[in-house]
Amino acid sequence: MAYKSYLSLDIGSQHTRAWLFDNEGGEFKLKGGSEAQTTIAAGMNIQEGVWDAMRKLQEITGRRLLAHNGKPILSQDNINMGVEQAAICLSAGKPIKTALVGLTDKASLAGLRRLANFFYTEESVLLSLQSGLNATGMLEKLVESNADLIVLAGGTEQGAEKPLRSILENIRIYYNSLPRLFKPQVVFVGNSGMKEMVIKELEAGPDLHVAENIQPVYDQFTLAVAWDAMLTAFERIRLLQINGLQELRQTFNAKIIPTSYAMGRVVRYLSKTSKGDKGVTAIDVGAGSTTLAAAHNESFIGTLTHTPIGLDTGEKVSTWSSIELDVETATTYMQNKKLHPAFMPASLEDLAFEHAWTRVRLQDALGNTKNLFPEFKYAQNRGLDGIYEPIIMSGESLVNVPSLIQTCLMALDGIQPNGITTLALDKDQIMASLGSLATVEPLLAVQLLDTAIFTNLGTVICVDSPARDGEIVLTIEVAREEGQREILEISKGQLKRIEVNRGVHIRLYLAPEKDSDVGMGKRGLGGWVSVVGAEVGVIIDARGRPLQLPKSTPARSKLIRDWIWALGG
Amino acid sequence: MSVELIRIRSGQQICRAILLSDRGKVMVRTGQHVEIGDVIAESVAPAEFYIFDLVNGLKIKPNKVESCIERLIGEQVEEGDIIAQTKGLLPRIFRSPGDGRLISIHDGKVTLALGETRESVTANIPGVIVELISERGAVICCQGDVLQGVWGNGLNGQGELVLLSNFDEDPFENSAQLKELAGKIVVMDTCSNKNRLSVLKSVSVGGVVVGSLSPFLLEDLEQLSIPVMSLTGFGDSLIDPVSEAMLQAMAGKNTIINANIPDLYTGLKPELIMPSPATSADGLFVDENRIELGTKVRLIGKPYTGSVGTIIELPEEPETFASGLKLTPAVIERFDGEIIRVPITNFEVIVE
Repeated sequence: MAYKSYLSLDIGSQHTRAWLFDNEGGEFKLKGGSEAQTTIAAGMNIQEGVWDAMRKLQEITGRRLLAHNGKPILSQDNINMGVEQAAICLSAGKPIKTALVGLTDKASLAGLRRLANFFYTEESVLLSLQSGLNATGMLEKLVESNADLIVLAGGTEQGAEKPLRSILENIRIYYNSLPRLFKPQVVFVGNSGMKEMVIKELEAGPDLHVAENIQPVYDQFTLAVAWDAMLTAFERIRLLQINGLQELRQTFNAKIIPTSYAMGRVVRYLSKTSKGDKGVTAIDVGAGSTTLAAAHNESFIGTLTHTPIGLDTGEKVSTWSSIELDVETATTYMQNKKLHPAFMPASLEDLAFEHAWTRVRLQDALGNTKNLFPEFKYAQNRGLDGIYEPIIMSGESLVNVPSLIQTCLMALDGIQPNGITTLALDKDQIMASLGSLATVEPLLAVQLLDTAIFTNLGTVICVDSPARDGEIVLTIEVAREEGQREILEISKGQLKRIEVNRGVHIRLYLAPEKDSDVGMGKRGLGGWVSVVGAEVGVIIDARGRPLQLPKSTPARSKLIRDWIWALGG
Repeated sequence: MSVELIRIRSGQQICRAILLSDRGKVMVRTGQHVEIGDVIAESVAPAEFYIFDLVNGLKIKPNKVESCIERLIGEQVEEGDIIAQTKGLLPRIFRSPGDGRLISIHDGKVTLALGETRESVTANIPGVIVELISERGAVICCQGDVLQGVWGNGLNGQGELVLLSNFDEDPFENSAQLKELAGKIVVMDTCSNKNRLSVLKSVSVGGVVVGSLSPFLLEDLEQLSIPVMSLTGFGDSLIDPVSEAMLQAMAGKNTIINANIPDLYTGLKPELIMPSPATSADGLFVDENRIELGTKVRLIGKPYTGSVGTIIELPEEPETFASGLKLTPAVIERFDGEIIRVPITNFEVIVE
């Protein structure tokens, strides 16, 4: 196979990461990665951060990526320099002010909210014919929203045309008649029989993006048909908003895609290739938002959640802290972190805040996903259903930890999985970069994902039982490779870690009590489970769902510390 | 690695871009001297829209709509002007309900944009216009002292600066002294008491500057009609010595408070500005991110929030901190002589 090398750029609100891959030796491998400060503030050019990251990548890999004029070398003429092509994903930038316009609240708007949420949007207005506004009122709401993006749905296939016409007229006026800095982008994802009419009536040229109907029949959504249109609209908005992005796109001749979408691509691929009936989910707790992508069979769910910083969140954070802290202290920490997003916890107290906040953000992301996608297998009082394996964790506060045990515990407390699953960590935060390269060189992403690109944290076995605290709910026989056998009894409320060295295979026989469910399909049903050694090993979580925390602050903090100790963290 | 800058500078050139959020008309010219409140640019948008359904309103067939229209798209109309009317002896008429413009005739409906709302941006520092930004605004420059903070409630004002710490007696305990604070920018160490803000509002102070704030006050502060800014953020940290020295220099003089809401994307921060003659000129790269030996910094995060020091060592290798995290450190000699090691992410570089 001819030698090829690729560059992937991931531009976040804080950091710009650059990754170099090549197929020296046959298969694609990661050559190295680097990180630089994102240069997005006023007066800056986004390219500066990219060149800085590439300069560092040059030093790390020894491969020349930038020419003497400071521009990237995009050529494969010389095997020691340049790259064949690049891919770019972007999460930096303010949320895109978005107007969601549909015919009905329940059907159209529900679908639009699901679609738009994954593309770094912020709902500035929701308009439907059921909102009780006449045409004038609707137009004024639209004008007030000052939306940069309008996503319009228009009924089921062969649905009525007339209601859509009046809405279209308002969008046309908004698009054409206001002294805006730049024209809004309009995405039409409604009745496909009206495509031509929409194109003709709106007169929005390249600012209009038409997709198939996301709701071909009532209450059934196929969001994927609108992704291309959303991607184009997202890119056009960001190119206008971010200084230097247009030049960057031209230099690399690469489409700019949302980081969340790139991450979703990886999750969809992993779900397709996973054995058995299980799906895959990934959660990235980022500086500004939490991204959740979950794929199971052919269905895909993707959301972005901005957890508000206020007293409510402060209360939740203080609830989940391993040290005693009051609501004001927790809120103060979060408000200051908002002002200084690069701040890193240097003291144990700060780390406890950070980890408690991560738990809350995970819970919030799952709750928000459930709100948007009622079919998502999560319930606040039950946790995440066992259909997802692995659960891939990503983001600074999950990756940058003193011990990976703490990552596992944050994930367990935040997600509260059920049954048997595996926790993995995107330690290098490379997932989105692979996703954005997937269309440039599909083989690269496939080969990289087949290798141990994610850190296997361990297998989690969750026991659900109505038993009282302290009662035996599960007996485990641990059969190690060297022939040793060990019997463990797990009681309700217990968190237990079984250490298994990396690469070592063990088998566990799970014998739950008759009322206990370990995810084998039925209460009381057990069986053999094969486990391969990982960073943390096997975690048995018999704490029940939902997790119950004592009301008293000292007792609560002590319990969380006890859990950390129980896992050896 | 992200470098945060905080400007505490005296006798320097201060330039600020004043921009409309949308397209509009720039109302100043380069070289023009502007005062606070002077309009720099303004945009005009319709105050309201009026959509009239001709088919139903005039009871005509859709194919007759065009022949009824008396005006062209884009045409200015006045209240009472005939927009459309049917033919015949007793014509049915649609008159404009107000002054405005006809913006659309489509699908049997007429849309009028009525009235005007003007959004203007005004100078928030006195100075000279040095650059025009087409259809958006201009850059104003002046000379003076600047003290930036990290949080503000989005309001602006000006007045004589007074430090409550300079008073012999707590003015909150003395109603006569309290009344003297009217129109002045009041500086106090911390604010965790809602009542104090209410008292300051009731005597109509020109603005409030605090070392830090309680997050419990946020909702009230965002509703407050006087500008408030915090120098170090939230919590109970006092005013750092570098800011304190600048505040003492500003005390008793007319000072501008631009309590901007911080924006990481635009780089906007709240600030106090005191116009004065320049004593030095900016170098070309004065604001370049610089973490190097001798750089003066202000620390973020407990227990050091707000304390100030100088970088005396920059180890290359990451170190394990008390949290257990391995982070790149900087060794700082604080103003009180204590030498501490902090992660390189946990301070702001003071640009003097």
